[in-house]
Amino acid sequence: MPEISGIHDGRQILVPVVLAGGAGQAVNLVEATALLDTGATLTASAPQLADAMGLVPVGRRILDTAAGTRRANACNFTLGFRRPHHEGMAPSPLFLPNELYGIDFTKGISFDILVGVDVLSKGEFHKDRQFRWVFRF
Amino acid sequence: MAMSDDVLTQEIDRNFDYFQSRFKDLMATHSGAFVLLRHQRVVGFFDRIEDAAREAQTRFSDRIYSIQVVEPEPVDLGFVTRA
Repeated sequence: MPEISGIHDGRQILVPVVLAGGAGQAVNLVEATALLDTGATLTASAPQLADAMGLVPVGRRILDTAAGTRRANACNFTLGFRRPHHEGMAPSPLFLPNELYGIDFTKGISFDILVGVDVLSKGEFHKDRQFRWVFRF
Repeated sequence: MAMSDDVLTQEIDRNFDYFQSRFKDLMATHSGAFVLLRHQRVVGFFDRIEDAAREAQTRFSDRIYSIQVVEPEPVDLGFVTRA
């Protein structure tokens, strides 16, 4: 089972990722930084990433916000996790087996994409008392 | 043939209105499925988003369609949308 792992810094878990356009569309790979977020029900990406991938919305989701609910654009894309470089070589990303149906959101300060429970619940996510974490999928 | 963003936006919003009007029934019969919609009609149900997208691209070269998922809403992005 593929896995990624790291050390929780006590605040957040940020991981390098690669996004790719959906099936049948021109595939453009985009590098980004993701926040693994167990408080988000759904994966969401900054609109700039969809633009860079050449994606257009395919649907809508209703998003709950502090200011009430709003319609958010939904796109399909593929998400891959970058692994650490080994001896100067950049290994190929570990892609999730299925495409995601995510929404757009306003980009965070330190990340471009939220990886939510829709992804984390399809694998095994663990964190131990030494703040080591691992996600197997 | 290229389509305008307005045409696609209108199609997605109209299909979404239709989808919401039928949501209760769809939850009872197709919970978790991806629904391919065109001109406020259901074209088909799929287990995976990529299967719905592939079918749409095969059938509708004008790219006028939308895809919805039959899941409870609203979705919540946690602190990002609560700050």
